[in-house]
Amino acid sequence: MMRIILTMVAMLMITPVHAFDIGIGGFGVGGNSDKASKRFNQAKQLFKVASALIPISNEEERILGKKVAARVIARYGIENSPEMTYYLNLMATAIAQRADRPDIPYYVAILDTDDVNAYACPGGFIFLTRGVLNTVRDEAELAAVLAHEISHITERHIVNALRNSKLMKVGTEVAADAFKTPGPLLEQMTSFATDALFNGLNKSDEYESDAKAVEYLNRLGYDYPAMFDVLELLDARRKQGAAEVLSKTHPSPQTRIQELKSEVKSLSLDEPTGIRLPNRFATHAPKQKNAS
Amino acid sequence: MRLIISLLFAVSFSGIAAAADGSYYIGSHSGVDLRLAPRNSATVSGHLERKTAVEVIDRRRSWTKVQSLGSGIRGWVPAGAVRKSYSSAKPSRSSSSFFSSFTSMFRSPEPPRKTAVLGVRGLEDTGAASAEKAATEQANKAVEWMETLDVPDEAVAAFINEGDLNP
Repeated sequence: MMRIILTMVAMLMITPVHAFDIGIGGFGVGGNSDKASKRFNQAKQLFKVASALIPISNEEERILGKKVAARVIARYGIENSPEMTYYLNLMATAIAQRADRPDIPYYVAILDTDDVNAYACPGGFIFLTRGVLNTVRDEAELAAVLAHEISHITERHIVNALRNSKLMKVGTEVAADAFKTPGPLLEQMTSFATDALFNGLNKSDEYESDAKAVEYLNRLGYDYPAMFDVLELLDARRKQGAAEVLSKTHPSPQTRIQELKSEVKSLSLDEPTGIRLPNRFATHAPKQKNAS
Repeated sequence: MRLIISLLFAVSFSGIAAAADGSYYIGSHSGVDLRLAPRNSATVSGHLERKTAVEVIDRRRSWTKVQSLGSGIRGWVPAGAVRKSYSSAKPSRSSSSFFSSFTSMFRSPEPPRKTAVLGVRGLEDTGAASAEKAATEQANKAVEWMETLDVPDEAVAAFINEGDLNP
């Protein structure tokens, strides 16, 4: 697969040279110049994709994800709510089946903290805090939070950050061995991924996940404006001081709303369905008190 | 593998009840007409509103014979109008034995998050190393438990149907 992509890149990198010549000769003539530019951009895009394909397989990602998830649990502990946990896993699976990466399983657990936040570890491990469950008002808003987290995994945000890190300069083979025989390098990768999770991803990743969440909500038929409502809610909670970690690790909700409004215009969305399901949400995810 | 994971999930949540007749309801937005026979030309004998809980008493090709659990009236309806409630597969409200043991591990005698946090916070006492090891083991067990949280496809489908989401 890698070889095919590299071959395609090479072919496209060669082709624009010829096209570029025509473009220079026809300076100011739109047609050939545009073609050359288009092909060059295609080549650049493919090269970018190929460069990003330092292989970390699903299985390797899962090994990493399990270690990161263990660190998240060690920090917060798990909330004992079997019914709510089951409800969340049903919803996450329904969303993930229509998301861009349905080939891996997704698991959701509730963190024993009132701070308003959520975490998506590589490999499909997702955590929602009790605080965020107490903040959202209906199932569509909850689905928006889950869809946002799922999209961090479908877009491999942490894995890609790791691929671009110095840790991966050890070479593909050494990196692959690190997953087969866990040792210091895997621990370093785990620390890198955990730090990314706790300290925040790139702003652009967050904006992308907001837009993807809208897409996923739309595909499943939830009322996708719920994503905007969640951001407004987060803004309100942030002002109350209840989302301290979230405030440090994410762009401000108002900035995210503005970015999302702009992004949504380019998405192909259906009319909002109005499906919010507040009653089902209230039945299966009743407001929790601090258990500690 | 999926089957094994599903079984593990079922074991973890011992309160899961098997889907049974009586966990069905009318899903059509405008309700559905009851007919005396399984065909469109048959006489309409009544009408059931959306969300009416029904018992399935017979099936024939694309038709299902149902009886309202409330009024008791019965008749044939198109099979697509009848949906299974995902609630029939949900776990009981009681805590599973796993959760009981898991949370007791986690919360006593000292919550591990106070002593074993990833180098972000320092170790606080001389027994911290062993506490950290124990906390790591507990956290690893919790991750293994998460991997049992696979949900059956039919439960997801019923969940989607019940919410009138896109199938």
